[in-house]
Amino acid sequence: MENASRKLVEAALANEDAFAAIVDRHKAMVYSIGYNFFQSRDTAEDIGQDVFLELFRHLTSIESDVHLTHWLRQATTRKCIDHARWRKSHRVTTLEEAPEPSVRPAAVDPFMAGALRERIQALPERKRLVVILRFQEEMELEEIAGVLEMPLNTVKSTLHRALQVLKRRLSVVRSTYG
Amino acid sequence: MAELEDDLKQWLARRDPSDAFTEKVMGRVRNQGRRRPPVLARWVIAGSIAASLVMGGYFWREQERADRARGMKARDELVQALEITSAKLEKARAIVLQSLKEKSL
Repeated sequence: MENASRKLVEAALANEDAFAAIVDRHKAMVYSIGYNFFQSRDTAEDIGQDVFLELFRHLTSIESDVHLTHWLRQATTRKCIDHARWRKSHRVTTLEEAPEPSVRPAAVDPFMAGALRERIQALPERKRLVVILRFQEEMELEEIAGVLEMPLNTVKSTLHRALQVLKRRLSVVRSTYG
Repeated sequence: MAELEDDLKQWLARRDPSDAFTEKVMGRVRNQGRRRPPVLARWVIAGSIAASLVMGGYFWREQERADRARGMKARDELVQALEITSAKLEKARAIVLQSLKEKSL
């Protein structure tokens, strides 16, 4: 156990500011998983808030910084899947889900970025999460398997198939736009 | 494939939520704190309720026992009074019968 992080968790149990420090430290990770999954700032913020509220209720069970990160990733991915299922059953669509070029990383070609976003959004939920955890969080496949509670070989094959699909579809876009 | 993976890393890179995000989370945490007392307080409240129930049950049972004892005592006194009355009536009857016999002789 890392003493510093355990101390932070213990402090957060007694002190609001210490919990706010935990939120500040991990908010980009939690928010970005939700954002990359839904391409919606509002949905990502709602999910992020729910995740941190749940963390506050479960603070006593957090054992280390590594555990905290794992817990947050797992809670966020579960909430993403739950929310996606809820949206499917309620047929929710929001205007806000349009992309926001101003916050896109500048190095990516806008045409390619748009095409990539559409392709990622078209992936099934589990495949999308494997891609997000692999390339946003740069996690090892074993870690992804742990967070998503999937067998390692399933993660490997899921990622391989997702990349094949993305590559195939993007090659069409590249050939179309030169 | 390496080019695609580089694009994915750039496209999916972490980004920050709105500036108000942490404050919104803390607002919800504070609201939750107001709605739900801390764990220790919840245990104290639950313990107090349980203790009250146990004590209440104990006193109710003691009250029942005392009422029953008073009832039994009252019944015994009534039986004793009836026995005394009965004995006295029997004695009076015997005297009356005796005097009637003496008169008829």
